[in-house]
Amino acid sequence: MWQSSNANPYLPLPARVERVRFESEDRSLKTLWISLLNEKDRENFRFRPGQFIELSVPGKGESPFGIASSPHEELLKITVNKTGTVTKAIHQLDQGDFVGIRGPLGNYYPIEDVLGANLFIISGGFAFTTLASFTEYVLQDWSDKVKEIDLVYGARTPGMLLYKDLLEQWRENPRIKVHLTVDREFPGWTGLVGFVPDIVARVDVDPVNTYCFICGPPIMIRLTIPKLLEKGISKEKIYTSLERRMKCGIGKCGRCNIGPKYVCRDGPIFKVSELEKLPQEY
Amino acid sequence: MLFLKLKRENFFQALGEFSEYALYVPRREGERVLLKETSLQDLPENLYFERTTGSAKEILFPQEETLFYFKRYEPLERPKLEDRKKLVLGLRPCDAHGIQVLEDNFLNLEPVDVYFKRRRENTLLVTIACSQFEDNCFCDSLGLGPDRLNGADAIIYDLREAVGVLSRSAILSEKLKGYAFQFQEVENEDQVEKGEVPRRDPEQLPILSPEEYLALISEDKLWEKISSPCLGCASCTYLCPTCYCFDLQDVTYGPVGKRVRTYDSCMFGLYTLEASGHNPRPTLKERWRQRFLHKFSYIPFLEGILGCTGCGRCIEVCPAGIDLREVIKDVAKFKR
Repeated sequence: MWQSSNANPYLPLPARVERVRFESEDRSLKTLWISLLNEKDRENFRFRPGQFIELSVPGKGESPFGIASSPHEELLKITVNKTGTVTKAIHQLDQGDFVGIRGPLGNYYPIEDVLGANLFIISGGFAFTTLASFTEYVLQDWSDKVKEIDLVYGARTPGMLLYKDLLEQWRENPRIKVHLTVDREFPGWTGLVGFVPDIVARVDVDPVNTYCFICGPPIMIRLTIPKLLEKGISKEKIYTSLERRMKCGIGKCGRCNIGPKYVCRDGPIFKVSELEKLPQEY
Repeated sequence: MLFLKLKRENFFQALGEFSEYALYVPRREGERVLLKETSLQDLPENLYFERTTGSAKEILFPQEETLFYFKRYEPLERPKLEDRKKLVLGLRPCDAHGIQVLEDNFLNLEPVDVYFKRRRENTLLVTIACSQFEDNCFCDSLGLGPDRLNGADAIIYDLREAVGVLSRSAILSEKLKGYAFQFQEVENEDQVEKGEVPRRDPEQLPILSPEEYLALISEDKLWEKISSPCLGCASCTYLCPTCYCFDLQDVTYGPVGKRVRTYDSCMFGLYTLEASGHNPRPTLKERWRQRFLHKFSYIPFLEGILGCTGCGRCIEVCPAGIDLREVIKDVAKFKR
């Protein structure tokens, strides 16, 4: 009567924390590198940038996090903002602690659909995770199949920028133009100053052959989209990743829907032209 | 499908064939009618069962269930699947419609929910065609009916001297055949003899298309009006046969623990409250819109069937006196 499947989508795969690091100066953001314990799970776990996992801390519960490592890295990387019960517990984890992973979940940034075009990657704050993964992946695997790559990434302060090691590497890489910005002047800061949408407005891109990928706080996304439209970029060519409260991550538990679409299953990545057809419930 | 006719006494004998199944029927306990395990001897001769106070969903989707156990600090996790076989007798066609909605969510839309699947495979759902309408039920106003098979494995019709059984379950058909004085394959459930099915002139309810309902999403005045008497208690969603939204929580006892799944409700503010403090559905207005549109627009979109069974339980239980039939009419007035 229905498809048989032996896999239990609620059962986390056993995993271990291999490394942790505070990512921001205020210690609200922590990055964890995680490995799956079983070799078979490691072989089967194939993800694409944009997808997320549900991370379980036994006894505390689970929460969804975008995967920040590139698919070629051996360890899975996530960055966690300390806000609720589960994320507080995650912040207490250290090397060697056991956790559970479900995933990869959701859809991904569709690189195959944008070959031959310019890429405009736009992010703000700690939502940079999946776009950092995407940027690294594009540079590693698709560099000769896309044209110009521009990255605008902003944070409140220089100390709140994620993955400074990667940002340094990319700044040296001629294949990508990195525009880093912070909200206001800081001693020693030599990058741009200003909010992401305003910086986006100043970056010169070809409106006809450019695809945009946005992930950031809702207010940043809302203010950035009009700037792209003003440049003449079509809504079909702007992708954005949404966040909602989630539990199951597989479209069953009913809470992350926007109209008939589930952010966990049909997203988290949507074209702006698709979002327009949905109720403005996000 | 197989349609069988059995003499009354033979029908009860046939039930003896299901000895490996636990028999569940609706039973009155004080003010409530609950699904209870019972013995064959205690079945009512006339096969009349009151309608359960709660919905039938609990038999396949309990209010609380354990998904797996774990030991903290150890990568040990094991699932818990229920293996008990159950024969559930005496539910109503509206209950079986609700089961269909649950099946679509848990089984037909990938990935398959193994807990629900195991229970469904181990459960035989035998409904009984209603002999009368209840005070607030309105399945006939929704184009459904008190004699439909819906998501049941079989439905029983009272044919006075005999019992008619329409079965789409191989197990049921096989076991009942030997006791039937007549049986035949049928294509269509309307072809079979159903005895006296209650009929009335149903109240006409204006049911719009999923697209028409979706177009009403930004009608703030409508949703404000509908939600204004609501207390947000969520009783309606707990009793609704098609409400399947759930929460996942960890429960610990020292170093051991379990992950449990419990009913949750879109009528609660915490349901969508994000850790940042942002809530995409901050008031009852947005929550009512979600509850109504999930049943009348999103489920029809995704599953192709109406997310309301017309059972009327939400009307009976509502402490604020909200009547879903009136809501349906109010919503239709806003149709563009």
